[in-house]
Amino acid sequence: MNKGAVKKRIKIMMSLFVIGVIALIIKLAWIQFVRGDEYSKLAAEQQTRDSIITAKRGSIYDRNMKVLAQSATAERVTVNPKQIEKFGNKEKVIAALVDILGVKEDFVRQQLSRTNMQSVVIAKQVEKSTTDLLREKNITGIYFEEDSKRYYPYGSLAAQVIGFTGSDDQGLEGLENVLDSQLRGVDGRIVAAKDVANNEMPYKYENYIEAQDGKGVVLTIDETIQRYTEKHLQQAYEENLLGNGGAAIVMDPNTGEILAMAVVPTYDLNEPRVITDQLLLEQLEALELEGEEYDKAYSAAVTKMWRNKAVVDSYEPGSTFKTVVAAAALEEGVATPADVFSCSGVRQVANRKIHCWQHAGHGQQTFAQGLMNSCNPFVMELGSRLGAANFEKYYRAFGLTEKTGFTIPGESAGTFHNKLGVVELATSSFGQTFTVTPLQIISAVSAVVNGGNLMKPRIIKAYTDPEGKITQTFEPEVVRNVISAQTSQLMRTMMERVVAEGTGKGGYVEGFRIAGKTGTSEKLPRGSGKYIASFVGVAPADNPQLVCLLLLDEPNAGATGGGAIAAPAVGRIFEDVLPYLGYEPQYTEENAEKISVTVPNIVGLSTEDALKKLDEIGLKIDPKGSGEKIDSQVPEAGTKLHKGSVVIAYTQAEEKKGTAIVPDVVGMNYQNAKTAIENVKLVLRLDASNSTDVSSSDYIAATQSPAANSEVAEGTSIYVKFVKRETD
Amino acid sequence: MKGRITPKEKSGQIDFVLLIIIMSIMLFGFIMLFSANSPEAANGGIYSVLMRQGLIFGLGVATLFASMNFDYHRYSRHRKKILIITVSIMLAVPLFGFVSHGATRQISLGAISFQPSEFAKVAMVLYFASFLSDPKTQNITTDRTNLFKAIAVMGAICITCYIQRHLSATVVLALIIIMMMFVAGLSYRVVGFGAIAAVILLFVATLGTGYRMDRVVAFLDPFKYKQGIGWQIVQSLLAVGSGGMFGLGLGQSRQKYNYLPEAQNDYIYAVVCEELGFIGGIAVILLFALFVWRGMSIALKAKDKLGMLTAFGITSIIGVQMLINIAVVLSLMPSTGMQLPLFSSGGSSMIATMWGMGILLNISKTSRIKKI
Repeated sequence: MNKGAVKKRIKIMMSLFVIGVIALIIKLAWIQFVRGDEYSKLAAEQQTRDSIITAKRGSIYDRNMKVLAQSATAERVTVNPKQIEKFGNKEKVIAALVDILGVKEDFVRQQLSRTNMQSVVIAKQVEKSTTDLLREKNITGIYFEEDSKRYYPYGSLAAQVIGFTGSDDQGLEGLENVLDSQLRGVDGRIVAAKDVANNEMPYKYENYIEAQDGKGVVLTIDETIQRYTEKHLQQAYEENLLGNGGAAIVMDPNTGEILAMAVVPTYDLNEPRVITDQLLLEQLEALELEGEEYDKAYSAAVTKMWRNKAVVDSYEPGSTFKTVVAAAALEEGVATPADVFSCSGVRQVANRKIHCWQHAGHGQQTFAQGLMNSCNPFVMELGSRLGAANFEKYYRAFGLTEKTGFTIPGESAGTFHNKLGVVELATSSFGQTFTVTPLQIISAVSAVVNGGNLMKPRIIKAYTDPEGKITQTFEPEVVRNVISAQTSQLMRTMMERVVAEGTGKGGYVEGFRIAGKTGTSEKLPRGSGKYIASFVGVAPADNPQLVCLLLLDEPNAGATGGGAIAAPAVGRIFEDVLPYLGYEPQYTEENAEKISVTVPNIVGLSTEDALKKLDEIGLKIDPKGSGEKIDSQVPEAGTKLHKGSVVIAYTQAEEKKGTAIVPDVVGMNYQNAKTAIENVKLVLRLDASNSTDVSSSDYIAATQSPAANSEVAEGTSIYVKFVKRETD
Repeated sequence: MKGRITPKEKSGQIDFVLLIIIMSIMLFGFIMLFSANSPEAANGGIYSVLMRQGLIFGLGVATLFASMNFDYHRYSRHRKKILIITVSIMLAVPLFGFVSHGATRQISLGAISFQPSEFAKVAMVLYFASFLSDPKTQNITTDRTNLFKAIAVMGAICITCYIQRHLSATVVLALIIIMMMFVAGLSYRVVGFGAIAAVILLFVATLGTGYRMDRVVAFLDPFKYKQGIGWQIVQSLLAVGSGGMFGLGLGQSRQKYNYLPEAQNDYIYAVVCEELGFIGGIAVILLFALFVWRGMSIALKAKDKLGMLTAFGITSIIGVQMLINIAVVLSLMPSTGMQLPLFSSGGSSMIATMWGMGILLNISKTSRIKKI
């Protein structure tokens, strides 16, 4: 073969090489330009580690800034199965996780078997003290991420209102759910480059976005009022063996602010999936279910106890609704307080005979007596005089057909007749054949007694920044004016008589002026023997500051009437709440005599004996100090006190009460005077000449005794007289 | 004009164009190798990486100059000794070598180890260039004895390589020898027959070994086996795809952080594409193409047939390895374990390659190409 032929063959090989080079260039361009975006995105995904900086969830406060819900820093434990597989310390990892975190071994094994993953979660919301134990062991493949955990310091307090969060800190129920976007804040993140073993790459590819912590929410709820309300609702629930729970709302009728909202059976927000209520557990046991069936019933009961019955469940309000009809009739002028109504125990409506609850009839009665008797023919007469059109006008005006716009998920608006015939008008007049929610009824009754304005019920008072500083407050909202101030005034007087003399006697509280209206409705189907007993109370009757609606669903302990079982519970709530709000009981001489007791001498007794002695005559004891024998008492023996008052017993000489300088409170309003006096451990007492409620800012202190700057013993009563502020 | 030396041909002087191309590739490779090694370097081993690569680089340059001044005709006189030494050392590998990456390919000489197959490539080029230009043996087209003799030598050397479980080197060896025989005048019929036989052998070798089959399966659908056998293909594609036109910048590869297995070795080209983009990727291919063009030009204008065949063979070693390595990185063929000459971090590959380069430069002294 000559050199020429060799050259030719070399050139052939060169051409083949050129073809190869062209193929490479085409493929290179194809990868980089056609598939480039897709590939670089995939590469970026695997190369970056996105760490979330969890925004701290905002706190929930009561109206006095007591913390009802707050988040604390916790940690989430993750593992890197890929790394653990390579490193080969799987068993050690499993042992440590099971041992320290208490997680199930099967679960950990399953998570670790996902060896194509670089991060799987083992446990969330683990407390730092626990993760520290794990951290000390310094085990390859176990990682910690910031997490947060929600705490509810008051446990079950206002459970159905506040609601709770899930394992990712997301709001699941109640306000935690509705206000999630406010409370949650915005998570920050760190995007960092990582290599295959999840270690950071040493070049600048880090992006840090700070977390914005969530807002705080201040509720209109008052923790103390809520606690009292829950206590007495719970008592009524247990006493009456309620088959379907109960609810109570305390509202400030002048602002629409919800001061308390309680539901039974209730649960601990820190353990929302556990039923602790004995009655509910007994009811579950009584079903005699087993295994899966039982679990199903259990979780249904759990879901049910999360419901905010006061807002979500609608019911036939029964006689509490008669206040609305009466107010409408007075406002329209179709009836006057002077009118006389007769009740024979039955009323013919079209072709139907409708009975009064009192089959014997109430005979001749005035307007006020009709309401006191909760007489059905009386309200049917009022309904008939109003006529269907006016009835419906007021029904709507009182907000009973619309949702209140309350900040709770699943609010219901109730149901009402499409067309109001004569029979429907008659039955509706005494609160049957339609449904409303407890919140709607309490709002309507508030409008009846507050001077005639329907207020929008509110539970959110303000928002705060993450540090708890108020950033935005909400003002009361008048939905509309429904009745005149005069009509409202009349209704207050008559409703006070319902409590003083009528069906609502059970709600009477010695020393206070309480107005109210009872309600009892038989649940559908009629004749089921299942009732909802309710009572709506107003206090003080002459200047309403509180309206309380309490309803008991399916009482099973005999009594089913609202007057018999619901009114006393409301009375007990008022009895606790009114003094807390600074109202002193005003006793007539007669009942003052009846309830006042003389303080005995307890000096020299042991605390236990003193407790017994005081308890016998209806006094309470407040022991101070840690000694065994009481060496002094306030007030002194021989002092007259009302039943239920507190006697302070000092057991140690060193801690013996000191003296205090009486502050000058003249010119102050009630609240300021009370604060000034209590600050130096003295007691504010109203001068006997104060007959009306003096807590409004219209009243200022005129005189005080003892005089300012005198030195008295701690615990001494300072009598203050308030007068109406001069206005020009 | 032919046969006479023109001033531009500068007889006796090496081809500086080729030297510049070689030096450019070496420098480029050294920089990229250092960049690809930076994850380890960043972990505290910066000096050891620098020392090792600097040493290899220096030894390579020394080898180049030594080899450049060694007359290529002298190899031809000792071709039988070359063959015997090569086969002996290759056979020694499975017996005395040590295991690395699942295969025994290297033998140790005290502190340093080397991979004989790299040297075998150059040695075989020398052997066959001599065999195919020797008046006594060059007639393989009509003289069956010579043809069978050549095939027997090729078979022997391929088997010594194959038993090291080094399929890619075996393929390169066989390919280079067949190409040289083709250039030397072997008929298309015999070449075609040989090609069919080679494909069948390759097929059998693949089917007979699990990991080779895996590589083919992974090649066909890498993303399906992303976490397993498709991992390196996928990572390579992601690296190249991330580069775009201009790349992420020198030293900025993210894939080299253990995503790419052997970022400093078989997949260094992927790092080049990721850091320097299409521009860098093209630059590498064109540099090698330039080298092949210049090497082939030296072959075409070589003084004698021995020079032609030797220059062709040496140039082909580089060209073929470059094509296969880049084709693997770009997923044009299943992965093989082929290094990119002068880029990948093998010391043996570097020294052997520089030896070959030196021979090529030595041939250029008497080649009648235009020199600067």
